[in-house]
Amino acid sequence: MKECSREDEVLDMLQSGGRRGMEMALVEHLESCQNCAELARVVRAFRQDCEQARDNARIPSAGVVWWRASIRARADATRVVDQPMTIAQAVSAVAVVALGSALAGLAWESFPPLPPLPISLLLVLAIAVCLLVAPLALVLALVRE
Amino acid sequence: MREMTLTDLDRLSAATVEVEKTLEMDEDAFRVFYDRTARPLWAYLSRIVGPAHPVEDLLQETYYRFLRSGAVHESDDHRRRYLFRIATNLAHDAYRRRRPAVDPAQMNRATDPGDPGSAGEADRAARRVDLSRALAKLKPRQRELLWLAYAQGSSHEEIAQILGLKTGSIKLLLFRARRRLALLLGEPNKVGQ
Repeated sequence: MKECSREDEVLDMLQSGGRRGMEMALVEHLESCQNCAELARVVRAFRQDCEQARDNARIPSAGVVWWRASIRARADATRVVDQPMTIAQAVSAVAVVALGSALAGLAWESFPPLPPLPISLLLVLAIAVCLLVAPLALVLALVRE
Repeated sequence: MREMTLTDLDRLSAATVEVEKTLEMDEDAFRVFYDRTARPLWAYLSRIVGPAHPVEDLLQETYYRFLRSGAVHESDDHRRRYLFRIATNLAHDAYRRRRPAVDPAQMNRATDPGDPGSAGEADRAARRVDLSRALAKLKPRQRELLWLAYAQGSSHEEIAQILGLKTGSIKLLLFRARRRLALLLGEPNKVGQ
């Protein structure tokens, strides 16, 4: 089936109710044009369904929707306001750990030389210290008063 | 309950200022806008997502995202089309999350008018059930196109803005969707299967 050149006219009539004279001419066209008859059937079905859907819509009141949106926006804003503080606390904790490690390294150099230890053992010791100290520092930094 | 500190008060005050700055419109303007758009929006969502999805939740989420969008609107129509664009995107998210088979039986229950009083009402009720069953067989995009064009009377340009498609492609897509729906409406014995 091909489109009809009068389809837009038919659609306008169905959706707005055109002038009576035009309507009669289009009604005659609908009887002869399969494409426009199909369009009319579909549009009428949709308009009836739309009317029913709108009548039966169970919408909340504007006040309820506004209130819920405000509450949620306030909660989101509070999270946004708190976020820089949490990030600053985490950065501070990491800085403290890094500074402590650097000072420990400098202090280590002042000790008398020890027998050389395997590098792997040194790495394991360094990682163990970080794993123990860093979480503790983060917890202490993030605990609220 | 612990006492509020000065820090807490500052934080709440900052949050209130943030809320006032981030909502699209004030409450009075929102009420006017809501009263004009809520029923059409409800109808649109209920018909394109079907009864498997909580329409009220989608409605609330749509208005929340609209209020928080901060978009600049040229006119009231533009604001309305933007609202429906948000609703369409949320409907797509709902499909992807749940992916239920849109059950024609569920669509039938959703539109069941109960006990129609007269033969005319029974006829209209039967046509509504047929339409719901047929819509359930279509793809989501096709349902959206058809509803916006024939239930809401939106122009091709408006439909293109709402669905994020090119205006030039709407006519052909709509024609195909309509043909498919007409075939389904013309096969009452097969639609419910």
